Amino acid sequence: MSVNYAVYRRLADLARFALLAAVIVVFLFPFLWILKSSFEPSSLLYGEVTLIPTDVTMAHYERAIEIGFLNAVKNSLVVAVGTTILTTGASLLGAYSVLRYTYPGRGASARLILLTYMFPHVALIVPMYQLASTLNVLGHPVTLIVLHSMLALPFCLWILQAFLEDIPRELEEAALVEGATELQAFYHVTIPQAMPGIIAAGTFAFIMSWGEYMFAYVLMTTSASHTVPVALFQLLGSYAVDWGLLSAVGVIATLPVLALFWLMAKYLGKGIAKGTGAV
Amino acid sequence: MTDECTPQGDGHRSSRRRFIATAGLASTVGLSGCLFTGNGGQQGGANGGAANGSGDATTLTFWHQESVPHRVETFKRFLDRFNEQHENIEVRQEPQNWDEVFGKLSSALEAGNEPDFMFSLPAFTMTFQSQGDLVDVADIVESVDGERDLYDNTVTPFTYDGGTWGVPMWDMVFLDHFRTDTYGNIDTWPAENWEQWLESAAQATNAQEGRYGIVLPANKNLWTTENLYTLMIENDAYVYGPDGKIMFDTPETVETLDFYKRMFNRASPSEATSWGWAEWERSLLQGNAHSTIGFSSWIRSLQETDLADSFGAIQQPPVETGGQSRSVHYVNNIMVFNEEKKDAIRTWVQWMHNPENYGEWLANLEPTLYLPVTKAGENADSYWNHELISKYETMVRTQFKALPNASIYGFRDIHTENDLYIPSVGTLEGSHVLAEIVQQLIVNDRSPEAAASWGQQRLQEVLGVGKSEGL
Repeated sequence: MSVNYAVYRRLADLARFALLAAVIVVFLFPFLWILKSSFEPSSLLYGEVTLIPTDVTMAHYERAIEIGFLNAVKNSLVVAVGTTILTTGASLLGAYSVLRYTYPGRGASARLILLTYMFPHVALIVPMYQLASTLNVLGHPVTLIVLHSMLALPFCLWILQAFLEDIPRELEEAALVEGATELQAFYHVTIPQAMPGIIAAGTFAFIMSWGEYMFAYVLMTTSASHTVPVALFQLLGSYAVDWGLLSAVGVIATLPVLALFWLMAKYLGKGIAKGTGAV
Repeated sequence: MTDECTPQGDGHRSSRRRFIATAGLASTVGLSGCLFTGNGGQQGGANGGAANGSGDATTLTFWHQESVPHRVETFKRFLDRFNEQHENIEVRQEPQNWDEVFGKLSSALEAGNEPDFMFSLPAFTMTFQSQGDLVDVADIVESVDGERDLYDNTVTPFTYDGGTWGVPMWDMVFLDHFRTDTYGNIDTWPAENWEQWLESAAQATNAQEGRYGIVLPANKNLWTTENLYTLMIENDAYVYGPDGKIMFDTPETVETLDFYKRMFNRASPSEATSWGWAEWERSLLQGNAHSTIGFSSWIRSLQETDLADSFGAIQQPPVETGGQSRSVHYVNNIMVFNEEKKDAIRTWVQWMHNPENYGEWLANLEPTLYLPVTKAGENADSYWNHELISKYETMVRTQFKALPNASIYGFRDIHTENDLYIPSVGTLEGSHVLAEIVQQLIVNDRSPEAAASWGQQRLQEVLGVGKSEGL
């Protein structure tokens, strides 16, 4: 009986592993294909389809550097890091304020912020452009940082509220009894406890900003200020696509997000699960 | 206190906090740097870009949708050359995307921050002209015509409402491209009429071997719209009638849809119902599709394959033997927004149309796709000297032969003869209604009659141009 059970468990583990492996292959396949295409000479891209490239070249990556794609990566990093800092800071303070203080309109304002998440972004393009133009900040990364923060804030606020709710108020009160100021209690007690949520919110803000196209295209008016999605989309011109180059920049564009996921996966899963009420 | 509250791994937390603080500081410093270097968003238009600080120099900012790197580099090469030769004018390019440029331009115009001029197409131009955003460029067109002899049908799509609203810069035309190794062995090729064309494509097809006589699309996109419309042009089928009302449901349209459906079913890959331009190009370059009607846009990529010497081109076969071959063409123009800088823009346009620059510019921008719109350009050595133009000279000469009989939505014979002004052509092109009709025909398997009737209703609904209420 116990032998049978052990065999059964082993088989079940094997089946689970096979299923997971199949799912991973399905999800990774497009990326692996892009990776493969980015190292293949153009002549092979139009030839017979093979899983392993028969010839390898760095020409597409060299071309990506030559056309200044790294400048777009730099711009995206500035915007995404700026958005992450601004969004996590604002949403942490916002969530803390909503949970810990009482003031008129507290609940309504929290719900109103969430409502903005449902507002169709396309309707904001013309007013945002006009505002940026009036303030003379078109093509400026700060414009995009503020706008991306506005887009990411509701969700981050939601995640952090869920995290802060779980931190016992008594911990902060104990710190206050020990003589700490409110700010010190917030910094030394609340923030460390909420760190997984802060990281989850920050990762969400970073990824949202990194991949946002519409506002980046409209507001970043010069080629020098283009972010990764805009620079990438520029390669899909009318009646001409360099597939090898497109694959190479696709790989470059994915790497920072991939690295971030790799580093933050544990916190991100926990944060999203808590934010959506799954745990 | 800290130790009590965060007893575990405090050292890690401290270093993490230090890292975050450092990253934050670095970002702030970086952003501050950007504050002084990032703002390059100033366009021309009402708000600025008039001078570059030297007092007399004029800065021109223009938008174009040729955003792929080799075209941007070609533009840059010519702009550098122009700027070097003209001390008082500095021209700057800002590449855009066709898909989103409408929203961006509308926003820019609303804010008075539009470019000084912009590359465009007839329907797009008419949309902005109808909003009163454009400057009449009749004088620039006259000067180019006087010096370089512009082809009439490149100017026609911009002449309406008492002015000329676009300066033609290049043209593109549909041809029937075919594999010489396959079609060369078919008796009915080159086809003299549509039935022979259908028969030839069917003979070239062997679906089991993954070989298709033609690649015809049936997806909701511009490529499908163009494929149907080029056949409609050939068969005297119209979207707009001579009075500007929708005139889609006609015997000619039904006949065209019938041909489209039979050709698709007999010779085109069935997956083309979900294909876009990329899949179309790939099917040609991988040797699956053995012919296509379309622009000669893929010849540059073709050089990467071993099929570079295997393609020829003819004008689209006429409906009946002895009939006239006709097709769709897209003349690209510049539209001008800034009256005050018109003189500088004229100088730039004239310089670009100078055959020495013009031929080389178009040949390098996209060889075999972009065609000169002037007699001087067509005869320019700088154009024909390009390696690919010279290699595919017969194909390019065929394009020039096709151009005089080519036309486009809203600017067909019955429209220009009646001096019609149809601002909804922009909506027609952008809405992909013609492609939707093809989907009804192929995917939903409607009869040509039913699809034509459905199309009439849909066009009236989308364009807001009724059968009875007129424009």
